[in-house]
Amino acid sequence: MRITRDKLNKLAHVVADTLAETDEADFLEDRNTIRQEARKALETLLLAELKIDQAAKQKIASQRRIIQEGSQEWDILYRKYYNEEVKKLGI
Amino acid sequence: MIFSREYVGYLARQTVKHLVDAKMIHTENLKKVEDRVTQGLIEELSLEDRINEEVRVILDAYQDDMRRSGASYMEMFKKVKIELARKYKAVL
Repeated sequence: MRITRDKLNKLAHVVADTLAETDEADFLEDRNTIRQEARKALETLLLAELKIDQAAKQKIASQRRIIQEGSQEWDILYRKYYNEEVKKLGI
Repeated sequence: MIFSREYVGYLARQTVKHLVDAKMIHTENLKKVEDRVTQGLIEELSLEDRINEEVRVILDAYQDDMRRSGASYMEMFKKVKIELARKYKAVL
């Protein structure tokens, strides 16, 4: 996962707080249970995202010549390959 | 932001779907709920970008002093960023 545990917890709080403030969402469980479930869902999704990140980096590393991480070319290629991997999710 | 906006939208949709499927929440307007959660996640995930930008502005103002004293830009960047994160009670 590319974010800290604290940040993951914060994101779960954001989801629960946003849902609580949204008239269109009715809670069928208490807020804390919903926050914990959102945390679980986010953790699973963000662990899967790590594979997308690694796949993009691997594609750059497999080029014939060495492309330095942090260079503009690396950033452009990373974004290109990352987006290709994301599209596989049907986004 | 560490993730693209498209990916954050996907995160929000999947999280809301998970909560609906787990019968934790109910909604008659799924799209609106997904949009609100997407917006909330984007705001939280772009907080670090806003802090980084503020650090750069602060350090630009002290560039000459830093050069004279031999202070490292990266070291100062980290210190100022930690201070700003504390000031805004931000989780990075």
